[in-house]
Amino acid sequence: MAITTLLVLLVVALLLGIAIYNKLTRLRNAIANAFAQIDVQLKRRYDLIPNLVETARKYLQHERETLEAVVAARNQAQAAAGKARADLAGAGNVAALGAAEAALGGALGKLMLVVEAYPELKADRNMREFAEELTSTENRVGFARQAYNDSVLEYNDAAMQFPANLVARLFSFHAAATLQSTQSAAERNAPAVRF
Amino acid sequence: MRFRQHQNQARAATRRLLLLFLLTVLLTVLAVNLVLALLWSLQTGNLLAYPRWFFETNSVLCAVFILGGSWIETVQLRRGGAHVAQMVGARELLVPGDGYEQRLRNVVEEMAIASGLKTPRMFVLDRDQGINAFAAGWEQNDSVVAVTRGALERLNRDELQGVVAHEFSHILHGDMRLNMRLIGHVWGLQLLFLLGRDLFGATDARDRRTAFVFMGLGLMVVGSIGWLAGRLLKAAVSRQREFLADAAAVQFTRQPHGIGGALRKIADQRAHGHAAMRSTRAEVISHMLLASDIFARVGALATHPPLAERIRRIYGRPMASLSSVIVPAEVQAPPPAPDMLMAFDGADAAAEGEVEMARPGSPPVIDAEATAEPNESWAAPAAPSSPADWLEDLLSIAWPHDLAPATLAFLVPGEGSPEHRAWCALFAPSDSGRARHLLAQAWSLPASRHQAAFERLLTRCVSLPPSERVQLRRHAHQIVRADGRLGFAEIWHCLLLDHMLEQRHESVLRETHYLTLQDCASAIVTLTDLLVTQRRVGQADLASLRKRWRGEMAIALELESFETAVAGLALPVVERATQRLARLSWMLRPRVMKAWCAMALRDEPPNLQSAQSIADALRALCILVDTPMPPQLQARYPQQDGLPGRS
Repeated sequence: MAITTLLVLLVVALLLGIAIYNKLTRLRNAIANAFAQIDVQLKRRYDLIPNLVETARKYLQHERETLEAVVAARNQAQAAAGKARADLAGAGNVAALGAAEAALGGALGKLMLVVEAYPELKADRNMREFAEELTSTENRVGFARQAYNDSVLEYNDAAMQFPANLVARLFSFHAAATLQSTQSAAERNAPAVRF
Repeated sequence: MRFRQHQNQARAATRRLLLLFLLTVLLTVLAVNLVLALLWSLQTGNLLAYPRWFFETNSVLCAVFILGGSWIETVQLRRGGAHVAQMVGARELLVPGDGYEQRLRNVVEEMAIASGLKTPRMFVLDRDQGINAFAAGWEQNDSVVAVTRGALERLNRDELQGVVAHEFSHILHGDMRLNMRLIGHVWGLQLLFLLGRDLFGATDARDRRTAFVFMGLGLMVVGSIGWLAGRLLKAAVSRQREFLADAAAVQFTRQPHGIGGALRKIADQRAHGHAAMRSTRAEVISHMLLASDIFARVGALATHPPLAERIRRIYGRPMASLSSVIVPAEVQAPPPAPDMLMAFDGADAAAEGEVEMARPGSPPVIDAEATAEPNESWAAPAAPSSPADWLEDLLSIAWPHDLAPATLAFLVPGEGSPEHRAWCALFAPSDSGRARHLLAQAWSLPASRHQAAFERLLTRCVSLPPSERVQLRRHAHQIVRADGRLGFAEIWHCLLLDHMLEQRHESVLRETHYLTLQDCASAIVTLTDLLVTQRRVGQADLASLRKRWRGEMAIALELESFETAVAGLALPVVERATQRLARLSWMLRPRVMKAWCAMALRDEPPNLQSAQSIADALRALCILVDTPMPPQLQARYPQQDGLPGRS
């Protein structure tokens, strides 16, 4: 009798464990998917920047450093994104991407300040379209991060609650890191695409 | 997730609604039976003796009527959200035409990311200056978001985002399905009321007995009860969904000022007596709108909660309304000033050119780099190898400002012509490298594909907003008249452009009275003369040739003779002629076309170039009078370049 009870309890515990394991796996995959979405938007931003620089270069002959800083920051951010994509859980990869993105944001902000001083560049039709595209891209990155953080929150909540935390410990479901929207003072001054 | 919970709730609500609807149908059937029984007993004076199957027949007929009506409307709606949008006269946003539309497209894509949904199809209601929007669709996959022009122009970016987020909430929470079902059901119930009204109204027939009038009256009363019940259902469900959608809009955008600001601007429009929707069928979709119209029934029948209450819930306290004037360029931040985006015309361009010259030491706008690597530009990807690919690329791009220059490039005959200078004045100063690239590509198309390419670009231009279309036509006339005279090719191009951009064929389609060949005689003569002149350009015996062609046309069309006087060959005359011919009976148009083609393509024209130009003219004529190309004309064009289909 006692053995039967024990067996039933064991089976129930096993089934529960499987259910929890599956749920955690699903949530972890959702995080990877959400990150991929950010990645898509970051790529849009990387694609946009060379053309922005190309348009601006015609007018900004004397601002070569500013433009080069933007291009360099863009390349760095692109490299960091590649690394983070390859190994999402890798130590500091996501944080490094955040920092690189922040630097890119700072460089872009500087460029936009320079643009302010060139009325004919501001009036350039391409430039105006880029400004809208850039605003939109910033928003997209923001919304994608928001979605990523939402999914991280859901995953962490699920993995830390009892009894799921036992399963999480057993199968090493580590807590995922949310993307901080402001990691540095530079990023807090987000690129002002204001005209 | 909470979203799923909401969706389940919505599904449960839909089931409840279905149950209530069936209950209403049942009650209606009972009421109809009661009325008919009463009428019968009044007629026969016998309270209890009814014919066999009396109630069964009534019930089945009544149920079939209501359910059938609902079913038909539902089937209609199942054709998808795009159908609903077109029903109220919305235009699909394929190519963003101006800054406002570019912004809308971006905002919708941003919200798709925020809510984790697929990007829906976008529609614009051009004629509506009221701020409004709706989402429609049966599934999340075929959903559409439609926004009025007023919302585009009068909201700033954040507010537009709030509005779009509100609509996304409807998509995400499964409200659209509920909404569409509601439309179908309420329509079915309304049908009974309409039948009753028809019976009641039709008193002029000789053998109509008063019983029919009473029956009509009874049906009307019963039907209106059903209809009222349907409206109550619709309103009750809808109000809760609106609060939910407002809340979700705040959740998606993480700020209350977007949707809140939009609602406050709507409140302002209300205060100034602005109607919400102008479409005649707007009533049908009233409960799908962001805010229903000014005459919205209060209390239990209103599909939307009062605006003030919605605003209060968003902000947590009452807020004053915001001014809903068109957002002017200066305050338009952070996106670029859309007004300025559109205000691109010759004068503007010239001013920009001068600024360029005035700056000492600055490179000219067309610097070596820009011309050498125009392909590096993000907007114009690497130059494709063949001209046809170039056209495909051009048609698939999303950049609005390439469309007009590329279309009008087909009006430019060659380097250094007055048309060329006019074109450059319009498009080249600001963006010379790319614009010139477009022109070069257009010239590199083989002559036989020229016309088809022009037509394809025009079909795309049709989806531009009205203001841009008007501007495009104005520019076209500027270019064509640059050298002070109208060539034959220019006449056809102008006619085609005006015809397609004005969408005149729609009004022609509505014409119920078609003309006969005799009615169109003078139009046919005019166009025959034009074709003759174009074909034998510069030849002496024009008058005799004209006479011969007219005679041949008369024989081919079995008409008495063609001795009508023709009032010259000016553009308006030709235009009127094509318009008149477009009203010719459907069956006769191919005959006229065939006769022309047989004559024009029969003997070899002077040279290859004029052979092409006459074929192009005939091809344009086919579109103008809306008839298929005859086979011998079709054979002159590459297989893939068929006439653009009418949508």
